[in-house]
Amino acid sequence: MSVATEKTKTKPTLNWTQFLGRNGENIIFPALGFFALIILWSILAKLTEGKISELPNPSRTFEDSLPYLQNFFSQTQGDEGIFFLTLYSLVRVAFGFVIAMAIAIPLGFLIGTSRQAAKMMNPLIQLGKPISPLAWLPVGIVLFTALLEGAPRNIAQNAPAIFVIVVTSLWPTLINTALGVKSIPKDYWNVSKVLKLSKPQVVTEIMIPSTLPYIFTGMRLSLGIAWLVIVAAEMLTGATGIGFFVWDTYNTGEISLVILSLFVIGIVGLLLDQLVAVVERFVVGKAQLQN
Amino acid sequence: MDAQDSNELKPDLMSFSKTMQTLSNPLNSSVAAQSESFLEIRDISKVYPTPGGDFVALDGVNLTVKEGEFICLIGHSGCGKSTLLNMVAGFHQPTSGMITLHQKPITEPGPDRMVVFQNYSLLPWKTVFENVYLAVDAVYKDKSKGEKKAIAQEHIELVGLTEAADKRPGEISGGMKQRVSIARALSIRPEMLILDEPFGALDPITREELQEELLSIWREHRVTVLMITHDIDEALFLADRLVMMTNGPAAKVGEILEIPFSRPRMRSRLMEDPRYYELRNEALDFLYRRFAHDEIEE
Repeated sequence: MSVATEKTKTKPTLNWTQFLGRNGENIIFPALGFFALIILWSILAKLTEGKISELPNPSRTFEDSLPYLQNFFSQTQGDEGIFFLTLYSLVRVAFGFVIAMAIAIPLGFLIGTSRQAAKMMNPLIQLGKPISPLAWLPVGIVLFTALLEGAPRNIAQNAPAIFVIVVTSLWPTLINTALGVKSIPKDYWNVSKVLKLSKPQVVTEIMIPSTLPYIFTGMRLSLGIAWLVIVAAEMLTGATGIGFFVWDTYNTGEISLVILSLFVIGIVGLLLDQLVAVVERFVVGKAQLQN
Repeated sequence: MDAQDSNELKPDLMSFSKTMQTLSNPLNSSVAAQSESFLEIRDISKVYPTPGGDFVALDGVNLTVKEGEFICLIGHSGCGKSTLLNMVAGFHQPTSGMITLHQKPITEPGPDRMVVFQNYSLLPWKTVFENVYLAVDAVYKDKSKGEKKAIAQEHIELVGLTEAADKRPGEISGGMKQRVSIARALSIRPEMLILDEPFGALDPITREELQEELLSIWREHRVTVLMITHDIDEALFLADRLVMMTNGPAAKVGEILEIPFSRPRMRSRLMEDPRYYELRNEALDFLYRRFAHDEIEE
């Protein structure tokens, strides 16, 4: 009741856009958000001060991180700079993501076009999608330790983590591709029927172009998941990678560096998402998005 | 104005049709001698099973179309005009009865009965040229790339869109889209052109322009046209015969008006003809008195 009455009252509102200008708004409000984060972080750091485990406050985090950041491109074994640690993770993500897409997109087309395939795959999708990524890890380790016996060490070592990326990041693309195929307007099918387009022509001329926006939506979600998963997987498996670095610095008590990696992970994730968005704009094109 | 326009178009179309003859579809020339019973719709019915029992959309529809005829279909919405058209196009099969083209039953869609869809059905990721080229490429399998490109370009020129050839459907107006759709349909030299309310979504001026273009194309190409319309004046201007359908469910052909005006037709001349109003009144009487919407049929 009180909420309702409050809402009906017309308060004199300040027009922010008029006050700050559109550009001013775009700077001031994000800055306010970060400022609030730093305040909250400082409060939490203050609360832990002098306790068994201490959360470093922002300024200490920055001071501790600085020497490490100066070491950005270091390649020393066991003391890699954050650039190469991140690169290791990105390479794993790239492998896993490419393999996942190579499975998800064709399978999505199959599910979208064949009712039988959809009936066969739907229960598996429902079952596979909610499985937590790390639950796959033991399966991956067992599987690839056996399968890759005698293989070069760097392949055998990375395979389980890449496997986890594949099985967890393929779902969004699979589902979206199938949805995209099902959403192809009937008119386009009619055009292909009346022109008697061949099967390959239907795929290249109609199915792929009209499904592309859906595929890209799926790919963006998949890549996001892949990046989430690799950090977690590396905490358990890797001797390299940003995820491993988080766990390693935690164990050595360098909490400032843990926080530094959180920022790096966030920024890289954001850049990956933007990368797909840019590729999407380039491939799908403006004309289609309009229509 | 109208007369002048169509006269200006003529020489272009003549030279165009000459080039087209060399490219003409073998299907088309083999049947030139046959003029009677080109398309036969015999005792067609269409029943859709629904949870609440069968729904009879069409019941006992009969129509014979001669080669080269321009037929307009008119009737209230829901009378099954589109259902009938879809069966001629081959998208659906009749529940009983038969539709034949050259005595052969129609079993599937094919480029010999090209459809101009109500909402244009252009592929939005393709340019105007690419949309037409896709059809040409799909139908003329043994022609060279150069020949196919030339055919596509000729037809884009025919509908006056050469300058917009590299634009995508999202960048052109509704009237232009419908022109592309017509160019695409004609580019593959169909025996029949099937149009489902092609000009319904266009403004009146564009509609009249396109009606005239369609007529001149029809005269030059001698293609058989089956077209749904909601507009009596459009039908009287275009058609040889106007097929009026009774209301659904269980719709059938109610009455067929022969439209006797000589061709080429001029809109202004037509309006002065007293027979125009007799026919118009007859159609109006059929649609709004004898088969007014929501009334139970006879």
